Amino acid sequence: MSWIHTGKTQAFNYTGLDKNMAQEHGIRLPAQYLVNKWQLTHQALLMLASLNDYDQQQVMKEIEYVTRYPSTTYSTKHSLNPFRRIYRTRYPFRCYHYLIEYRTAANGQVVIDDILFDQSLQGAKAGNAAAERTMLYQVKRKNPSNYTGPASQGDINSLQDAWDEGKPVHQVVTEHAAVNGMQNDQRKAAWLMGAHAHAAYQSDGISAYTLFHNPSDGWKLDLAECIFDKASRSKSHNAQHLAAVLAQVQQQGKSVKWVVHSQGAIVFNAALVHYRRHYGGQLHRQQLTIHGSGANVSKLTQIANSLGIKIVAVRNNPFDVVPNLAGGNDLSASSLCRSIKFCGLVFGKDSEPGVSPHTLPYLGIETYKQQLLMFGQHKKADQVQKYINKHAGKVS
Amino acid sequence: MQPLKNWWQGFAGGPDFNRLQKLSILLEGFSLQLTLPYSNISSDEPPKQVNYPFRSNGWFEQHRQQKDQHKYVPIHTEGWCYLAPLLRFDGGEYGWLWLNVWLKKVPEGVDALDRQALALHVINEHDQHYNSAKIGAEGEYGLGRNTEIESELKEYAELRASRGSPFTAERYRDELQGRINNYGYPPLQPAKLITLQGFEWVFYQEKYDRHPTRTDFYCLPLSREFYLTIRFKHRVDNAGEKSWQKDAENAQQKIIKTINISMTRDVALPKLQLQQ
Repeated sequence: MSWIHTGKTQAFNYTGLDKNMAQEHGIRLPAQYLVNKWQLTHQALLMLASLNDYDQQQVMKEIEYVTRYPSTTYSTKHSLNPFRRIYRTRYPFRCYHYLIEYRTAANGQVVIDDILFDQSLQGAKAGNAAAERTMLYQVKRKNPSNYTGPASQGDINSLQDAWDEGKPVHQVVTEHAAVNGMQNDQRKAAWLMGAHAHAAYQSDGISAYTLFHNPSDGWKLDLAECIFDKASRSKSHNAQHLAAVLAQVQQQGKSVKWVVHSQGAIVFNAALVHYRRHYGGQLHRQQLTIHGSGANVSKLTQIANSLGIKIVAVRNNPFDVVPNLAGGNDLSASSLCRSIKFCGLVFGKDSEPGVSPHTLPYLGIETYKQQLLMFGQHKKADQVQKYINKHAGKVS
Repeated sequence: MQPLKNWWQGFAGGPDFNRLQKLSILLEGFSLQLTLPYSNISSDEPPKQVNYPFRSNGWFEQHRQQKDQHKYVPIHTEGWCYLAPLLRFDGGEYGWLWLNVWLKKVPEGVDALDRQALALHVINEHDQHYNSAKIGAEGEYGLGRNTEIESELKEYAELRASRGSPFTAERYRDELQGRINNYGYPPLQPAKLITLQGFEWVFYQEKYDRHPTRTDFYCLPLSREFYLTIRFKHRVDNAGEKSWQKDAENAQQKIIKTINISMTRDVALPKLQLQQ
C-alpha cells in the first residue's frame, strides 16, 4: 500500500461516490462497492475519473484498504512473496504506483484528497529493473539524432542520448505511442522505442511519444509472460492494462499511431483479445506498426482489422529468429535455416550491437546487407545477398 | 575457454586490453595521444581527422555540436558494450562504456586557465541549462527542464487548490523535489581538481541518485578560451548486473592513465602545466 495522511482533520467540499456520480464520470465501481464508505474531494474525483479502467480498479482497491485501516502506519511497497510474480495475470506488487492523499473528517470518515503518482515507485529503479512498474511515460526528444542505417560510434552514442527518460503520465498524451519488448529497463526502452517510433512514422518528425512501458522481470519471467499472453485465456496484467489504455484513448476520440516491438507485439495482441472480451466496440482511430514481431502477424492483423485498427507497416527482418520462429510467422525449412544461421547475431556470442537483426528497427534488406558488410560480417552479407537474389522483387 | 571465462566473470564484451590502438591528435600546439582497446561495437566509421585548428577564427563555431548542455567539437568517440555471458534475449546488453574526447569553449568572462573558475563554470553550465527561465521545445537539448517541471507543478497545485485540495508548503516542496529527482536534473556535486600525468585537471560527475548510469568528465584547459574534455559515460541498461560495472570502472582508470598530452611548440601558457 502507498498513501499519506495529510494531518488535517477538517475537510471541505467533498462528496461520496454513488452509482450515478460514477456513471457520470465514467468510473466503473467494483462489484463489492459500498456507497458512502469513503468521500472524495472534487480534485480526487476528477483524478479518479481521468484514469483508465485498469488504474481505476487498482486505485479503488487501495482506497478500500485505507478506508478499512485509516490510522495504520504500515505501508508495504513490495511483496516479499517470490511466487506472487510467477502467475503473470496477477499484478505482481502489493501496492499500486499511485499515492493516495487522504484525511479524516470530523465524523471519522476517510476523505480522499488527491490521487497522484508515488514518486518513489516510478521511473527506472536504481539497481533493480524488476521493481519497475507498468506505466505510461511521456518521452520527449532531447537531442536531434535518428537511426537511419549503418552508423558511426558517434552516431550510436548520440542515438542513445536522443530521448529523455520520460515523465509519468496518466493517459496517452501524444499522437504516437509505443510498447517495448522484453529485457528493456525503462531508460533503455525510452531511447530504443524512440528510435523505433521515428523509423515507423518517419514523415511525422516525432518530437515526443508516449511509452507504454512493459517492464522486464528477468528473462525467465519475461518468457513466462509471453507464454501467458500467447496461450492462456486470461492475459498478463500488462495486456490487461494496455487494453484499458486502448479503451480510454478510443473513448476520448484520440487518434494514436502505435508502434510495437518484439514482445510488445505479443502484449498488444493479448491486449486486443482482452479488449474484445471486456470492453468491446471498435478501435478505428488507432493505427499500428509492427517491428520484429514476437506475435504471429497474421493473427495480430486479423484481430486488429476486426477491431478497425489500421496496420500501417510490418517490419520483420527475414533473418530474425524472433518473428520467424517465436512469432511463428515463417516456419518454412528455409526460414528455419536462415534463423538458425543468424540466431547467433540475436542471442549468441556474436550478438554485438549493430549486427543483430532484431534490436534496432529493420530498414530494408539492402540496408541490412550494407550494415553487415560495413561491420565486416562478409559471410553473413553473402547469405543476405543470396536471399535477395532468390526473392528478387518480392522483398523490401 | 572464452564462454567459460565470460560465465566466471559474469559478463561478455567490454574493452579488451590485449588489442590496443594508438591515436594521435594535433590540437594546434598540443599533441594528444591515446592508447585504447578497439571497440566491440560494429560501426561505420568516417575517415579520421587528426588536426584540429581550434584557435582559427570561427572554426569552433563552424564545427560545434550540442548534446544536452554541452556545446563541443567532437574529436573522438569509442564505445564498448557489455553483454550477458551466455544466453542473450533481445540483445542481452548489460551496459556500455563510452569514451568521448571533446573540445569545449568557455563563455566570455570565464578564464579557463583558472582551474577554480573552470570547476565552477562546468557545474554552473549544467544548472543554468536545466534551470533556464526559457523552456526549450522538444529536441532543444532539455533546456529549462527543471523550470518546466516546476511550472507544471505550480499549475497543478493551483488547479488542485481550486478543487478543494490545496498542497501544504511542505508537501509542495517534497513533490517538487521528488519530480526533479525522478525525471529532472538535480544539482551536481561540486567539481574538484585532480592531478593526472603531471597536469591538473578539473573532474566532475553527472550522476543522479535515480539510476546507476553516470558520466565522468575530466577537463584540461588548453587556453584562456578552450579546454579539452575527456568524457566517460557508464550507460547501465541492466541495473541488476553489477560485475561489468566494476570492469568498466577499471577500464576507465586504465584508459585515463594512457592519455599523454605534450606541447608541440611554445604555446606560452605558463599556468597550463602543473608546477612541480
